[in-house]
Amino acid sequence: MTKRQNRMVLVALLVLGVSLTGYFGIKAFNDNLLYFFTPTDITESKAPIGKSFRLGGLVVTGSVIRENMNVTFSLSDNNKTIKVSYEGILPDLFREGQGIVATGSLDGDLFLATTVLAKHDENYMPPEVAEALLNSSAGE
Amino acid sequence: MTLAETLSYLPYGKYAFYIWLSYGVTFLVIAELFVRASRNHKKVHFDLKNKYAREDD
Amino acid sequence: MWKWIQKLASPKVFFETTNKLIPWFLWPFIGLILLGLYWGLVVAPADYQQGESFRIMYIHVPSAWMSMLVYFIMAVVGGIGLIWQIKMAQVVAKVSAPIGASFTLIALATGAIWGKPMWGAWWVWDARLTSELILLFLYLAYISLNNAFDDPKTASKASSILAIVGLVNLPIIHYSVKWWNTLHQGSILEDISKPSVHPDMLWPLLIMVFAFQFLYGLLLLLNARDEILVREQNSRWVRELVTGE
Repeated sequence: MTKRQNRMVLVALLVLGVSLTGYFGIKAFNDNLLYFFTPTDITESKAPIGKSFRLGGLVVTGSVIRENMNVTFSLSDNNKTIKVSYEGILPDLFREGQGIVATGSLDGDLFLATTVLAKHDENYMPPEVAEALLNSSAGE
Repeated sequence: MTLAETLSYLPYGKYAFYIWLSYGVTFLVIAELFVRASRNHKKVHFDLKNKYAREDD
Repeated sequence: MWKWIQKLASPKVFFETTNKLIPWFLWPFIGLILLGLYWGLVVAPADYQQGESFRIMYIHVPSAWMSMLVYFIMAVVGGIGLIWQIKMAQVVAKVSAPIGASFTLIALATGAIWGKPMWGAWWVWDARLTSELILLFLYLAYISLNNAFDDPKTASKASSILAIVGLVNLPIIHYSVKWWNTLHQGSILEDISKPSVHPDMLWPLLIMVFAFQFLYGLLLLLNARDEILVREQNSRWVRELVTGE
């Protein structure tokens, strides 16, 4: 191959890479204009039944039950809650009160999750500061 | 045992693997930039010297 | 001011300036990176939520910011070079691209390594991650477009147009966490007067940001001085400089 042909192949590959990323990206954006559905959406039957979708919410305090690798917990959007069942490794940030996004499908009233991802916010502070904040807000 | 668990004796405990890996990757990428710059520097001077030597003949 | 710019636009003056400036970027970079690494990795406390893993922030955030800043500089300077045919602006734009691409690569790699333990996934196709990946492809397309022409003038013309078109991606990256529901967290400097990072953790981050800026300046100078020699190889001063060594 000549040098010029080499360059043309390289440019063609790049154009292909950009368009593929663009395609998947835009497809993902469109699928996820609502990146996830909420428990309220499910009770109002806005969520796609019988299809895999993402469900987001907060893990309800005291609802987490672990049996071997299987975990069940309730997910709430401070309005409705839905029970979730998941088998597998949970991210380190999974804990009661944490915001999570689960992918899976509905089986009756139960959401069978295939993946569970944790979402964290942009607040960073030492543990002592977080505790002090919690105490001061509880004391009010 | 996973690699992350194996390396948990290092500083930063259970996150040691992830922290050292990310800092290591960063170091390699930046080091590569300096190596390239230095190689290019030598090559440019070498090539130009040759070019001028040829022209003077 | 204008006279000074015109002078700097002369390849010889620009070359001499780059050589003079190198130590002024090298030493602050070394000082800041050592201070930032020590402060961020040793002194700063662990995070209440993410524990020690948050320390990846000290390279992830500066490189992500620099990936966008370098692209911005590359597009703007490339545009200036395109419009006024200033050779030295074209040089700055061209040598910026591999540096910016490397910052983008670091941001993506450290983000993936951070995402695995925190989110539970190396990669998700959310708006922030996807738009940053597109930025990497823009850099790569820019670099190969620049190399695809033998004439440096044509090369910088074509690549500068690409860079300017790609500018549209920068606000998308920045606002993606606001416009779309992303798994990626929001911006830590959403409100500049009230950063969401505790001061004990924010100071080393700012120092690392400065360190990365000096790193960019340093690499830019190191690469620009050689690019000038190649482009000006038919001038007398280059011949005298190289043969006089």
